[in-house]
Amino acid sequence: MIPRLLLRLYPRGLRDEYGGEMEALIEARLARARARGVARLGVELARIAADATGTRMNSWRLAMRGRRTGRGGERMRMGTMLQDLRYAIRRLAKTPVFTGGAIAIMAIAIGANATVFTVVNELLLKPSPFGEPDRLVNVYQDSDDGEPNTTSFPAYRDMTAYDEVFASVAATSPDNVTLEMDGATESLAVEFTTASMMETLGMSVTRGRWFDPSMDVPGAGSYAVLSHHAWVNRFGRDPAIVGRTLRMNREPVTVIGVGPEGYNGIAGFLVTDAWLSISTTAIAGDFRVSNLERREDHWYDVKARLTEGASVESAQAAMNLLAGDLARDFPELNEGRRITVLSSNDVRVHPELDGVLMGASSALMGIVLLVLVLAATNLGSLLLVRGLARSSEVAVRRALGAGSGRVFGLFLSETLLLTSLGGAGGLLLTRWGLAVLERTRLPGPLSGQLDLNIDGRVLLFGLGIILITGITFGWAPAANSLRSGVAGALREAGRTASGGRWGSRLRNLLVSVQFAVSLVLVLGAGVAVQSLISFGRVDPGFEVERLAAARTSFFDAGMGDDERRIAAAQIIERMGAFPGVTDVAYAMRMPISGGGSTTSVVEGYDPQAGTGSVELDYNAVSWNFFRTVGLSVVDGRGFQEDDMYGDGDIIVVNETAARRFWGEGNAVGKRIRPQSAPDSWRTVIGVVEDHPVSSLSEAPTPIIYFVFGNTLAADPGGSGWRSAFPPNPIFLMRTEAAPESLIAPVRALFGEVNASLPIETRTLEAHLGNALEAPRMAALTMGLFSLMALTLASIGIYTIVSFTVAGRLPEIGIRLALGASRGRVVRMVVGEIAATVGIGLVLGGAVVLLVGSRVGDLVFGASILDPTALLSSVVVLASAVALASWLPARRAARADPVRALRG
Amino acid sequence: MSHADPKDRLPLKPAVFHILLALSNGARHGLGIADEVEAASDGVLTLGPGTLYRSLDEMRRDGLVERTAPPEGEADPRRKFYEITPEGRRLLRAEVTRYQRVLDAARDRDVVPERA
Repeated sequence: MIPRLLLRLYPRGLRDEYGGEMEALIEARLARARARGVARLGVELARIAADATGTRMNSWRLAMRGRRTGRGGERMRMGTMLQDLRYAIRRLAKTPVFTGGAIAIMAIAIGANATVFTVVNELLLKPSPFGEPDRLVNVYQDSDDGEPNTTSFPAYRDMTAYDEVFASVAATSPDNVTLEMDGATESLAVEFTTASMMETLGMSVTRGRWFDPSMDVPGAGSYAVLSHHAWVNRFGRDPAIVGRTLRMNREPVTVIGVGPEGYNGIAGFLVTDAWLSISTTAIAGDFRVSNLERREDHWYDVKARLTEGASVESAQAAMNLLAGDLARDFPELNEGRRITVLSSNDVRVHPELDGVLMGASSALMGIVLLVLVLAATNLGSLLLVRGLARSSEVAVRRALGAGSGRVFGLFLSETLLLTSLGGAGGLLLTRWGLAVLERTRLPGPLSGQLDLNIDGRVLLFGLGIILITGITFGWAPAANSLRSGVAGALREAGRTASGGRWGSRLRNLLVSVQFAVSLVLVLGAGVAVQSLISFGRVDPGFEVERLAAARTSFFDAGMGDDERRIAAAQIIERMGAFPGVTDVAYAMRMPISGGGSTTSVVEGYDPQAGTGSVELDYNAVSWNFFRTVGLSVVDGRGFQEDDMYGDGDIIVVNETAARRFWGEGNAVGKRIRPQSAPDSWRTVIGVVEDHPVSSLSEAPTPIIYFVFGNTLAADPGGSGWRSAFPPNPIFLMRTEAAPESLIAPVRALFGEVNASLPIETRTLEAHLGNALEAPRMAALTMGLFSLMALTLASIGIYTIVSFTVAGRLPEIGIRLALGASRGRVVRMVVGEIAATVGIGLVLGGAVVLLVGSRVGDLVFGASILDPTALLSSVVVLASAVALASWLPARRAARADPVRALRG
Repeated sequence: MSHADPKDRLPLKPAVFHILLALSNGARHGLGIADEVEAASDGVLTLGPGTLYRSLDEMRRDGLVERTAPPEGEADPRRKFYEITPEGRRLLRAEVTRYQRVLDAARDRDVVPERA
């Protein structure tokens, strides 16, 4: 079966003489390849297809050469090619709708494919850049939930002692610092990294040098190694960069090197701008320094290189020993906490994220592949229709003496021209898409810059598919009319342009496939849009419309604790005097931005984990915060002005915390303390209504509120219940005017208070929009692809119906002349399309049922098998099809019977 | 079409040269030729069906090879056997002589690797 099909690829002349032998040869080759595995079989198939293409090209060349003998033949051949090309350009220019449509279809399909694949490739598929990657492992300490996670720095130090399994161990911890350059301040993504990193990864710097072990101790100077990406993109490949001193977080840091090409940090696809030595930690605050000694803070990612004889298993066994030691020495912290060793080859981003990313990526790849299939069938039907319409032209050319090579040349030049234009469009779209993605900063834990490069192979793959489609469908009708001979073709061309039975079968098949694919995509869009709508409906729990926010950094302005207090008081007072402003407050964190969490002990509550402690989100706020953001106090009281800087040791909790820890109505008077400070109990004075804590889509979680100036004094840089005035507070204003109108006066105000205060203003609505960005972008992508599908399918169906109707004009003329009503004619045409579409519906439905359960999870809980979504997408698609077939049908029915008959 | 002087037709196309070489010690069918060529070139040259049969077709027309009866015991009736003609052998020898001269020149310049 397959050898015979492959044989069909070869020119007939060769087949007639050598068909049997060639088939036997192909059979033998395939059998051999199959014995060596599926991959070999694929290679052999591709090789035979290439051989067939080459052979065909050769026989055309010979055929053309044979026809033009004598001197100047070479020039004539060039002339013919140019002539063909000019003719193709003229023909394409004459039908701008067809040309534009075809180019758009190809550009979209190729562009979408290449863009998505490039991202997925960057995220998950790219081969490891490390030396001897098989010996590289990731080591994780469990999180409190028992999942493999980041590691504490002391535990990392313990791991380095296991030198029988680890040749070297390295730890790194991502952070952000400010960089002052040319008078402007920007944010840099950095990693605090041990000197062992390069050796562990098996890489080396491209300039200067990497850290040496003396830099693993805090206070031993401040050193940075820029990532190659940052050196190229931020510093313009400055050759004198090594030795320069940069100001990071207002401290001088010396650049000693530029990192390896092809590795820009632990987060893989997210670019780290610079590595900072452990000795540099002080620039990120005392807390980062003390963190190096704290076993309760798990801030570091650990990678290790196995020794020659070691395996992942033996390393795991060694780490089990270490976990046992840690549990014995620090039972409070490490009882039951495991250490996991995974081969770096098996981990792409992070074990917990990989599954999600893989799922999302494969779904996205599936979607764009569907779009490619749709585009190919679409282009196929367009070319088929166009080719069939040209059968009379072909017949005339043949009658005038054009050989099959010449006719093919005409079709080929047109298809090649179209495909190159489509490919160029695809390339442009890809570049644009990737540029947009690179500028987009991902929200949440993945925030950072993507490093994306166009993947040429994918571009070629898309182009190849389109080219094969183009040649196949562009050539098929011409081949058909060539086969029927000159006289037959002329006769047939005069009578009808429908292309005969095989032509209409092929067309119907294409329509069915298009409909099926479109159904899947439109359904996806329906579900995505549904989830988008439900996200819009999420209640943030407080009134966001009249809130404006301004963030500043007292830290960056170099202000001490007292200065911060005074400045904050000044700012609050003057903001309150702005026209329209009714309430003002400040806080350590923006509402609904998650972040701070602290290990706490709750009086009278023993969590399931048995550790006696819980992780609690917290915020520190000024006394008027709840009123300003519009949260009402449901039990006890809120903060009052004289609570600030008082010694009440008080907190406010939200409803969820109150309910979970002590039961409804029992919270006031209960106590909470940080795990690390046994005597620092604080008393709950009130309960505020629930609201989302870190993202809009989640159910409310417990959160506790401190009032400024009343955070723990007894815990210097320890638990996160810090005494100091927060370095980067956020000021909030409730206003009766439009929040946007406050931006200019607020900027002026900050400038007057302290000229070096940086400021970032936004409305709370915009902030929440940010929180919604990730799901919104996913839904939007899905929606866009589906809209594309709908458009493509409608174009395809419209083209085919118009063409079919045009071919049937004489028949319709007879029907009209014999008294058929116009409505009847329309019904007849539309009815035939409906049957074809029915088949597509069944096909598409089957696909949906098959994959539905998998795709469902990706679109935020909304199921693709939802009957409403299913029904509405069928309706949408059917309406599009009905319109696409009704328009040409009506035109046909309006035709003058006499002219139609003469047709 | 037959040429008075085989030198007019040199150098041979690689496919033609290798097919002649493969047939120089006996008749073979298509797969046999392809295998022999692949083996002789250490797997560098693989003849696809199209290349092989287009070349055979040309070579038959030029009288370099011809079809011959399959040997006893050949089971697959689809397989046709080819053998080299005296004309083909003359051409092959001429081409090999040419290679020989190239090789000599190369040896003088000390760019020929020692045989392993």
